[in-house]
Amino acid sequence: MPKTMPNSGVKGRFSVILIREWERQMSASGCCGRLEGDFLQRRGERCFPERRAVMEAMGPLYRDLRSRYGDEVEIHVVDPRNLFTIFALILRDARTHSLSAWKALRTLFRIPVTGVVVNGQLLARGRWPEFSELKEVLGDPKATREEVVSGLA
Amino acid sequence: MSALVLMVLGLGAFTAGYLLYSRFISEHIFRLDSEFRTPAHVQEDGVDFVPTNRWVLWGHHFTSVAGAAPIVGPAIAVIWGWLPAFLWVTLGTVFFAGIHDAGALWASVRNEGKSIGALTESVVGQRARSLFMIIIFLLLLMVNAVFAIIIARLFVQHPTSVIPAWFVIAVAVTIGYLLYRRGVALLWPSIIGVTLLYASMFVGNEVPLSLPESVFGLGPAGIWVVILFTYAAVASLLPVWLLLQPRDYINGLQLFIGLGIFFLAVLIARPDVVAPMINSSVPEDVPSLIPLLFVTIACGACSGFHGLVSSGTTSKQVDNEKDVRFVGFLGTVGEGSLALAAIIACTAGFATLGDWEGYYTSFGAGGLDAFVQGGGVILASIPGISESFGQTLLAVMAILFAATTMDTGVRLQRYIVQEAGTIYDIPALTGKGLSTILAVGCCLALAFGSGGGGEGGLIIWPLFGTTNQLLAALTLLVLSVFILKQGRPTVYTLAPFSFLLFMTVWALLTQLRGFYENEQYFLLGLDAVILVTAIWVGLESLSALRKAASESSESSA
Repeated sequence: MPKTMPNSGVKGRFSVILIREWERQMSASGCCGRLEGDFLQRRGERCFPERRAVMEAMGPLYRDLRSRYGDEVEIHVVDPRNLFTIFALILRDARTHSLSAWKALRTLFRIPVTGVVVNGQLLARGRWPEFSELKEVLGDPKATREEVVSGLA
Repeated sequence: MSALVLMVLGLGAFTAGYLLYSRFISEHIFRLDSEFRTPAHVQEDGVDFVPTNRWVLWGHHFTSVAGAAPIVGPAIAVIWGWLPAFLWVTLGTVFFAGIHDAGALWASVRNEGKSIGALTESVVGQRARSLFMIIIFLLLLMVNAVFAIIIARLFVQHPTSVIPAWFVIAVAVTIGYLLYRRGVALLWPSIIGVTLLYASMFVGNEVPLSLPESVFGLGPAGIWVVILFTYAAVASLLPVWLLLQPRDYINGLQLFIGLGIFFLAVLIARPDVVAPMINSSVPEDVPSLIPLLFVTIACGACSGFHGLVSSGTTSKQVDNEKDVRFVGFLGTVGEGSLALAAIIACTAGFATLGDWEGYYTSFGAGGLDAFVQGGGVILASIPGISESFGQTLLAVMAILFAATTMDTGVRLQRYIVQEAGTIYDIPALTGKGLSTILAVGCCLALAFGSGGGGEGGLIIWPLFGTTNQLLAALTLLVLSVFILKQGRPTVYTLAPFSFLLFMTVWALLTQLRGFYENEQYFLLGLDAVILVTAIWVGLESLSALRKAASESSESSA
């Protein structure tokens, strides 16, 4: 795992793909497999508690990224069942950040159910990295925190 | 006529509908505004609310709305001829489903990402919310019975599908273990899983498995129904990561592979449509085209389920309000394409009109069997795919969709029974065991209550479609009230709402008489309950619209 991305000179924006499942049933199950929402909401229960836990665990990392980097980093949160989209995003990022075909393929074959891809390369798999780990790769944000917050608002 | 023409006309209608009608609705009725701060931004938390690129979101949305139902409905409905089904699918997708799905998405985006159930309460009222929950309950009750019968019939008609359909459970459990417990990367298990699935189709093709003609007085389909519910009961008790979640991956891949292969095959084969344009000599038991067509095809033309998806998770991810058009309308078009594929398979996959008529001998008799039979013939135009393998492939695809839905359906019904146990303080019902038995018992009663030893259950299909349309009508009502309160024209939502409600009530009355004459009292009772619910929706709509109109005129004064 590279400590810093090879493209720190950046042609394009930094790209972070956060891969995790939405808590509901999805793929082609399909029009009739989505009845859980309102019923379970009333009970305060979840059909997919493990997925929910992963979603909630990702929240702080996402918020940190957004609040510190604002629009300097393009963030995509993608469900791994949306495999074709993940492929497209990784191939685009690999092209933008001049990764070799081998490295792009390597990332494609290592896509996890839960993990983080930065600029076309896998940074973390099966876990959410600490923000400091991401910062090490992305570098310091250019804008000050106040500028980012006012930009987001 | 060549099926290719039908395909081009259908896809052309979807494209024109997207380019013209959806633009008009988006600009003049929804007035989508790129400056509006969507809930994904206002409530951005990285958990539920996440601004998402519209292509990514479309991928999520489409794979969530597609399934077995847009295949089943059109496959049954072509018994009236290909034209009615084709017109309802194309026009329904553009003028009904498009505005329904995108509208539910827009209304949710404009109301803090609330689900359509919550919106029903806040926009229409508390009574309407109760109505919504009743409709959902009825849908749950029927979905399991309907899909069990559909799978059972496929097993009987296409015994080559038995081995792959059950083998996929082992594949899914293995994938589940590798993905969720061993942390293996996604692509390898997916590729290996799908390869194994296709390998098992070859095995199934060589080794078809059929059940005995009669066991305890039940025919093969009846026995399969019992086996399937036993499976669903066990599957619903397993942790979701073990079977249900990995099935999601396999289904997603199958959806894209199946749809892609099928349209490729139509391009190569260019088969002729042999079914009549309008069938003037339908079998005796076939009900009148109007109103039954409009409830036989729900998913694929207009489906209330989509409102649940649009307002459930999709609305919380809309980055720019203008994306509502792209995601909502094009998601609908994706589902319409699946229905179009089903129409082509069921009308052009037969050598002669006589062959086609041999399948459509009674209402519900063709259905998925015809889709698999006809689709297999079309798929055989692709080098390397035999007709019987093509049929196995399509049968397994439909079975996988339906079986996953059964797993979820039984699980949710168990939750409902457990909730009742808690509310009424019946400890025995709060556990998993008895509640699952009760949930499955209800489904079995419905499956066998429809007659024919569980084999005649497709009679339920129009009732299922009716309830689905009621849900769509309720969503369109919410949308109409919301639009009316903003002083904008409501004709584009009220017209489909009125049409769906009218056709629903008419279809229920038609079926009520049929059930009475055939002494199917269980279904008669169910029909009556849905009819009362439909009338309730009508009354509620009058009250809500009158109130909204007076509020709107007061505010403009």
